[in-house]
Amino acid sequence: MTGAGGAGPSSRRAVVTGIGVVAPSGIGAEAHWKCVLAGQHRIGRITLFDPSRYPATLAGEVADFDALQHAENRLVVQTDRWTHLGLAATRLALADAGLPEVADDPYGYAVTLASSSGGNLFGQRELQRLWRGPGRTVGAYQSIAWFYAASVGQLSIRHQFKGPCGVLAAESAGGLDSLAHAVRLVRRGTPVVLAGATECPLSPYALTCQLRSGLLSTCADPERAYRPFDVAASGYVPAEGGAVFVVEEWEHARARGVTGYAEVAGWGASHDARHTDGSAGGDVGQYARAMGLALERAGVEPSAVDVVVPDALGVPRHDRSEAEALRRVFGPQPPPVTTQKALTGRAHQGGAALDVATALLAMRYGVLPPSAGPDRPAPGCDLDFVRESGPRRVATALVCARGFDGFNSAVLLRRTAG
Amino acid sequence: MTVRHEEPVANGPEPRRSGNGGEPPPVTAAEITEILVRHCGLDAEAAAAAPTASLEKLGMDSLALLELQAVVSDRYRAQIPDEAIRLSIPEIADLVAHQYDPDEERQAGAPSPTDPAGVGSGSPDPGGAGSVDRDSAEATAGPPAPRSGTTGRPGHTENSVVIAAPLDLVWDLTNDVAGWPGLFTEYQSVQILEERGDTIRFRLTMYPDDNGVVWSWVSERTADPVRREVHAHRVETGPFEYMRIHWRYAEVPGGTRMTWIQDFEMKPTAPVNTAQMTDRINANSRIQLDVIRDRVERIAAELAATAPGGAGDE
Repeated sequence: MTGAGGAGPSSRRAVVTGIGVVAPSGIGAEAHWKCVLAGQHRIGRITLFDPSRYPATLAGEVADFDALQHAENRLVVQTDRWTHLGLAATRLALADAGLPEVADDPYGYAVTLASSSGGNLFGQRELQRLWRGPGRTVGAYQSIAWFYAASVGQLSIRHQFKGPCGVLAAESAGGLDSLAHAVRLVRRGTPVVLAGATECPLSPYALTCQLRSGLLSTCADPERAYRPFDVAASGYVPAEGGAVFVVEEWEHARARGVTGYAEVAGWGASHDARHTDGSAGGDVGQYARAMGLALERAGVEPSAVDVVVPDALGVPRHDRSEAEALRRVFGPQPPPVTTQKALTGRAHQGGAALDVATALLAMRYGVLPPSAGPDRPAPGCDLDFVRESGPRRVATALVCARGFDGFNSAVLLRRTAG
Repeated sequence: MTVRHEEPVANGPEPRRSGNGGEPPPVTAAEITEILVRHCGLDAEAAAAAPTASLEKLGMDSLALLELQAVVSDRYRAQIPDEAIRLSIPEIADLVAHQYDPDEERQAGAPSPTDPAGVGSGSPDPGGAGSVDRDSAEATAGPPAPRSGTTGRPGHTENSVVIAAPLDLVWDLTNDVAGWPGLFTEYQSVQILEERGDTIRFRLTMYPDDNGVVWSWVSERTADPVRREVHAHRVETGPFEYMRIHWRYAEVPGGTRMTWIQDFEMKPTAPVNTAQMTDRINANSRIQLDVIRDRVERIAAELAATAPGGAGDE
């Protein structure tokens, strides 16, 4: 197809050459990195609406996010906040990769983000208008703003990415599946693919949906509400934001003098084939299988993994099963584990993408950021949590994510030379 | 729920002043600009720089117009036709101001027709309910609008127009059913099925709607030339349990008043409720009555010009 040189489909490799972060930890990869290194808590009381009538009142919000700084008014009024966050993250990723805003070779570019709840704020506003407004009207843009593909579609139009675009829907795990799919597209001949995800689950309706799952923390103390793997774990705190990446064919990047952060070397996905309910913390065997597949596909031995970024749901039974899955893959002494979700909240598929950004930056700087907790690991969760940041060999990282109702995914990242 | 609680943006064209006594008009260009910027993504600076540019020229597309129509319908109970894409913002403000009555109290829950040109439901043989179905399905793109009274809640409307023409002429022209396609704007054809004395049974066929669907049904009417009234009803009732129309004619200063009194009830399965149909009939009757008035008056003027001893005679 385009620009892939002489590499055959199976020998094409995909590297991440651009990172765009728009998250509670900051706007831009540098801001995010500083936040996680310093271990700054960014969870606070919800400001996007008045949460006082709800049992859960906390969230990780992207402070000072002004959509109009990242997109023209025309596009902003047609799209949900979740898309606004994605538009901003994409521009940052393209700039970081040194690629043009408008594709020079439209069919050589694609976008394949993850999404799992669509345009919550937009949809709620319009449905309220339908039932409350005197004219019983719903906005014309509702038709294009709420659905899962809205961000991908708008990005494809805006940046003229006409390659094979798509949306991955696997709840939080989708943020990793999106990277895996990007590699598939690279192998099939599209040299530049935008991957990752954002989310904005912060409207009364979206919060209510999450409350219904029974997994949300109802603690009102921002620093103690979300405590993965801790004896005091009481559920997760939702967050908005996420990260978008430029996934680029290796030769294509090298031809323009770019080595990138890391290769997306392996991935695995599995499913529990059962719903998430209050009785179980997910299928340990299936989760371990997804991790094992990622290692196997990358040709990396478990002992060669330098760091694990876990899903870290913060629900005791899920934390225990995640630790157990890691022991199944890695043996009794899994590699160092670090998670920053307690700082930012959980942005679902956007959160998994944010974890990938953290891993990529750790490789870039040769530094492992400290894990935000646990203070006292819960029984069965006594993993090797990174306690202090410092220079470390970070050549490989395994990022793991689980999605509501049984999705398990893992991605193995391998640092590119330089 | 009107615009009054929201401050219009400061930029944009100067508010239009109405001609009568310097009263500010109820709807200003600034208000329309504010809606376009906030809801349709209009570039405020571009609009301020070109106050007479059409919406089209300002980069507004069909979705943007749809959004404007919805917001204007909500705030002002006014309808903007699709052709408004070629109008400037002050012209649209004018159009809305003309329809807007701040003191007007209307039945709550009435829908805004998405097709302001109206399809049939207001004419004396309303047949557009089938297309109403399609309209509402598209407009809401989701759950159907609640029905506040499908059966057991009769609907009643009364609409009239004064035509500057003699009663005999108005009577003859409006009772010439075969000539209706030339009198109304919505009927493509009429087929006379049966005539018995003063009773006529006929099939009306509308022009294709936006979806290309052609609606057609059979009606029957009985004229009483002495009392100057007509009683008509739909034989094929479609979405109605029943639909009866009473036409009345009366000599008034300045010409002839023609009145349509419609009584109906919706079927439980109808896509719109009584309140919604009432709104549609009232909106569309206004349009068709005005069209008929203009056409009858034109014919009356032509007849006066050619009549012996008329204005054309020296």
